[in-house]
Amino acid sequence: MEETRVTVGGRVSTPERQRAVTLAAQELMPGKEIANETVVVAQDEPEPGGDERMA
Amino acid sequence: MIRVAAVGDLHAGVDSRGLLRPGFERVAERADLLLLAGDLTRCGDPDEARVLTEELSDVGLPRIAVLGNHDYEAGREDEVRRILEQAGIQVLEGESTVLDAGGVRVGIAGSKGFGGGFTGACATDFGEPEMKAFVRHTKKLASHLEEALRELDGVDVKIALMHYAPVEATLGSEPLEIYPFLGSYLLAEAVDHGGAHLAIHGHAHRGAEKGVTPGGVPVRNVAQPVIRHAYYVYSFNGKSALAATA
Repeated sequence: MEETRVTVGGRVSTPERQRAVTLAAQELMPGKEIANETVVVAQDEPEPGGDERMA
Repeated sequence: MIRVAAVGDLHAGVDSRGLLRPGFERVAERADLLLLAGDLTRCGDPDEARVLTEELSDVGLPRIAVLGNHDYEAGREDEVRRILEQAGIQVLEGESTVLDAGGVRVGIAGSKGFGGGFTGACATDFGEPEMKAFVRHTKKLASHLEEALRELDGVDVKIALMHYAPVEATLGSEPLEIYPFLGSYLLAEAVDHGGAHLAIHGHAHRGAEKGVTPGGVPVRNVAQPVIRHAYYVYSFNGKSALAATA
């Protein structure tokens, strides 16, 4: 049976890049269903003053 | 007051050069030390470790790490550790270290930790040699973590740094089927018995940030996909931390 679904994983920095992953995969594998399971991970520093006070 | 920045699962690759550094440009203004909760590399390749050290070379803070399972993948974990330590990143495995930050003495005990699962649904030291080896490995690392925490008695703030999770609560939406591969209750026992004020871990990318051990110690999953920032900062008033456990 031919595999029709392709899952793509990993981490990307922006939602735009996440969408680009889907487009690139569709271009490379026309006719396949692309399951984009990449995670958007913003690597910005936390806001100043956003510390959690533990005790 | 001591401010502890922490992040796990940076998964540096050879193509990460220039990508991680911007996230740490201001960390020295916001924290007194930086903890790295394992999976520093993608596959434990020494070249990946070199990229990580380059990216963190300007942090300007004491950097303390444990390795994660990814850092063992290539079977070159000793080399990875050596590269990190040559770059000034202290790596702990069943060991502890003490830092003085503004008059507050903070102790960090670290271990990669390992799996086995959680109370009521955990692997046991029974049966095939492979299963015994699995569980005994976790027992050994948890025991060493507890000993390392006990060595820190007398510091103002005591932190347990791990890669694997000590509690289920920070596993969030990870599939139940893989919980035994994400952590172990034995690590929580070590945290509780060792008198930690905070437990930091990574590993569970689909996890939740906050949990607590059965003994009441806050647990924080700082895997980068969970915190969605370059790092988080946890601050302590040293004297309060002592009072809280008195």
